[in-house]
Amino acid sequence: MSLPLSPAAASPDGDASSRASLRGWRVLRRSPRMFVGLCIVFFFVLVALYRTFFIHNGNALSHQVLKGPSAHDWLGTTQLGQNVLLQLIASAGPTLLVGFAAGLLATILAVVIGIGGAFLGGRSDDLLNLVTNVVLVIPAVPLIIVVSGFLKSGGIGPIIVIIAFTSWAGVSRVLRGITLTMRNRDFISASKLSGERTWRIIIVELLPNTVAFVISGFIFTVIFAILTQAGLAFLGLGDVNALTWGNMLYWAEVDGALEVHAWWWFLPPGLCIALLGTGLALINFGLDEVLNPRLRSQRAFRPKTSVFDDTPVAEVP
Amino acid sequence: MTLTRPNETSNKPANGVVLSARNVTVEYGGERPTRAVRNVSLDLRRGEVLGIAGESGCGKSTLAFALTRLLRPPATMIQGSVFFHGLDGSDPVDILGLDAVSLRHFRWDKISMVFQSAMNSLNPVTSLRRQFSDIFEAHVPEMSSDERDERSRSLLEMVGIDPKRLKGYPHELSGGMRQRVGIAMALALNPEIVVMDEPTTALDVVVQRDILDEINGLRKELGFSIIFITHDLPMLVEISDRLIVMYAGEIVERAPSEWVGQSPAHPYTLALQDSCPDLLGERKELRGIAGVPPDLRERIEGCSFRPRCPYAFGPCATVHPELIPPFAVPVEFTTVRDMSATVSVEEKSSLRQSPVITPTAGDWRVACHLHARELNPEGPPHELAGATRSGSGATTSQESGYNLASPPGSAGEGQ
Amino acid sequence: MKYFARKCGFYLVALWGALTVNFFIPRLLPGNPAQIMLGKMEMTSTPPPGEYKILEHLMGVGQGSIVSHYWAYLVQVSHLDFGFSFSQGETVTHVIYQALPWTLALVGTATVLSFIIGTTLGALAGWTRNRWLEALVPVTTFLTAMPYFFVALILVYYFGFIMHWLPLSGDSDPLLLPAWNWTFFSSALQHAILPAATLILVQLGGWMMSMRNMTLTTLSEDYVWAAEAKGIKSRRVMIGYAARNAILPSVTNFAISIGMVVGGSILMELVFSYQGIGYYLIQAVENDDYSLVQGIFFFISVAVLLANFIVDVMYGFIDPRTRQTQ
Repeated sequence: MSLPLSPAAASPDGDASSRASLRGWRVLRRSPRMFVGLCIVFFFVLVALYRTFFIHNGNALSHQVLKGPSAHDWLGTTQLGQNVLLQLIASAGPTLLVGFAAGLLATILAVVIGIGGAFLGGRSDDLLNLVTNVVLVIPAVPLIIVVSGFLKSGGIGPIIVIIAFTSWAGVSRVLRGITLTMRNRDFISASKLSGERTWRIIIVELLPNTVAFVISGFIFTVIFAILTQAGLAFLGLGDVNALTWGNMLYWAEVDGALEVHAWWWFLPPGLCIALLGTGLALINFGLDEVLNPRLRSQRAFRPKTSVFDDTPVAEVP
Repeated sequence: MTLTRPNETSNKPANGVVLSARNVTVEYGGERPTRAVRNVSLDLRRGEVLGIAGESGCGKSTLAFALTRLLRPPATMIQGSVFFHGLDGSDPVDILGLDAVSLRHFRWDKISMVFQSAMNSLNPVTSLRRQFSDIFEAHVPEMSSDERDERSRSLLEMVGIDPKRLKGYPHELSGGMRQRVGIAMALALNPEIVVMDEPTTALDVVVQRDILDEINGLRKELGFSIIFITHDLPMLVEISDRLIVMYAGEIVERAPSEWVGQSPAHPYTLALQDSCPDLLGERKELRGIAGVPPDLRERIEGCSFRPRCPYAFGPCATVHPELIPPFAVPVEFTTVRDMSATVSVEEKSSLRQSPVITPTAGDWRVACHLHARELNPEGPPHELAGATRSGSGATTSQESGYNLASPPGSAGEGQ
Repeated sequence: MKYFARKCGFYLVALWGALTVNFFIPRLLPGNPAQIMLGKMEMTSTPPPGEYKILEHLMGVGQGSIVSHYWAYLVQVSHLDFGFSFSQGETVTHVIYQALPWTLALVGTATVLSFIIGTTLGALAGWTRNRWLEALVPVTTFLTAMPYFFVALILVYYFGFIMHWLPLSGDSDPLLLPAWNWTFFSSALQHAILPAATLILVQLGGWMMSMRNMTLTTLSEDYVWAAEAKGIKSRRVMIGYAARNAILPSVTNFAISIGMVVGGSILMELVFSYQGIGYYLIQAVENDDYSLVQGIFFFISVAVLLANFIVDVMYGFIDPRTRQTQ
């Protein structure tokens, strides 16, 4: 996956309007993509909350072994008689938790290093920028696999930290670029000249103007974290007994769901990952459209009537 | 007597006109379309510099792009016609009627452009040589690669750039040099018209002067016509032969440049003049124009400049000003005070039917009929001035109008 | 060329960074990894003489300070000698030498193909605003949001278990010996189809979306518009002006994504039992074969850095602005 932030989104004319246009429903009205994305993510959050209050044991066994979808068990059962739908719902929470926690941690790192470095400038920026670029080119997933292989200690905490520490660099680089262009804007220079403290300028003046890019970067890391966590779980690295979508896939593979054609077992968790990822990506597309008006769907642009059939510039080849 | 619009509507273009546009109207589509250019007509004469002035968003650039059929969506021309009269004496070219292929051949060959931002209008990742070659390959396919390079080098030399730069890239050039390259490219095919959209706005004053001199020299040498667009009215007065002042998508004044420089005939022109520093003229107090232009998505009642106009009075709110020669103002409305004091509802309606001159050619000085006299009580300079002073009534001014059979514009340009 | 020298310098620093990370990772393990390894080796065979020294160097344990450990480690790595892999019964270098070409060929070909297809579709979507191509966006987004290994599972299930069309696992027919002949080549190709399809499908959406967005952005640039005004042919405007500029960010992303694809391919290789470098990495991690883990991570890092370096140098050629000396 490439970084969802196109560099064009960082163009000055784009971010100038971001602060005002990010408010409220106008964004949603402008971008149906973002609306759909938010709905999907919100749905999964609700599912995760539902589990916290109503499902006590998603792994409960039964004698109904490897049954296909039916009116009773909507998504069938596993080889141990576990209810797939129940597992699916119970897994939403931990998966979201890893994603959002790792995303949050990585974003904080990216903001501190990217924005902080660019704002301070000079030697410290050179150094931080070098570190960022080095982290960016060291292959993250192999590193994560290797580290979790050595760690052996399973559990969600270490995984969140490892993912966060390997995935902040891309976002940091984008934020640094934006901060550099913004640093020389008049309103920042004015604050500097008036003797405001650096951290105050960063928090009060700079952050609100980069907020859309920070959110976009956050979402990007959340997607990365969810995919990576699923991968680690699929490898059996981490706590294999925890309920996550990745672990469901791990057990489905280990217990031979493919060989017995139990598609209801391995398809749903993967599709949930993809659906959640799609929802998050759609939010990012929406942010992109808001930041970069040239991307908006042409619907709004199409003139009602035109006397001349081909007056527009671009003749379609 | 009926009111005839004294603009260039339905007039056959006079001889020597290279581009004639009639009733051009452009809308930017959307939920509520923005009408950016409203019913504009103009003639461009061979070899002249026609200036178009106005503040940002007045539609001046949109107009220029509409003339060359370069509007980008969501802009669409919803009304109007544009004809090109070639030097070869062939039939006029209906620019709006050209199909895609003929349009492609027509572009740059007959009408070329110099863009506001030379940095952005040059492809940043290909060499200048490649970009010149693209033009020749598209229009003169029989040219050999050596011939193309030779021509490109001589074009660069013509605009004062070392031909060795041909191998270089845009980012290696300074702003002024890029604009010179832009001009060289515009002249590549010896076009008859060059549209210049704020070609010097992004440059510093000294470079701006150099570029203007360059343009002027090349025009004298090669004889193309120029449509020059800028917000800098004093500069335009200096370099153009005739000029058009636009406000809210409409022409509010059109006259020989010298006349505009000496005595603007529309309150907006006056305000625009006061808001720009004059490069060569004496120091003056600069004033911005208070207020903002009208929302072009709304229907505009009366005069579009009225909310910002210091001379506004009663009829301005309801009567849409017509462009007329200033000496054709009905006698009872000699001054603003007269009007505001005396105009009643009946008189307003009679105002619409005031006898107005029908000019024979499109080169009168024209401006808002409500204000022409107030701003310019002495009338325009030169021969026309005498004529205007002699006018003491509607009938007289009509006569004096007819008396001026020879276009006064020529006198202005002759200087 | 200054740009070239700067890039060389950067990648040397990056390589040093990767090596250093690699040095510190074994320290996460409680206890002495060299000792553990040796114990495991002795269970199956007799370790070659001097093996313990190599392990000590690689894992940074034994007598002396951390600085001397670090130095011994760097010297050891510079000889490209990662000792013996007990889980594979061969030297680490030999295992990697056998596995790496498979992964490189697969990941390289699939990524380049995916880049070309996705970028072309994206450029067309942006240029023509074609409704069908626009409708593809949600589909490819959905695919892009899938984990590589899940797509691999679905493909294996559908084409292998249901349709019985393509071989399920391995990198070639196990009865064939690697040779430069058609039989082996076609077998290898057949086995590569599904893994390659996985890599292409997942990446496609990203390339398409980024190229579409950049094309839309570029189309409203003045130089594209100016090219139209110059009467240059549409095809030339699209390729030489719009696409030529729009592709630049994609090329930058291409460099970064190589690392990501390699990561994804590790899990994908597991699903297909495709015996590339990722397959062996997972084997090594599962068996606590630390020297193999270290060796593979080192070679993956080098390969990814090298690919990045090549793309960066290419970028220098296609964007003249980067060559500018500041």
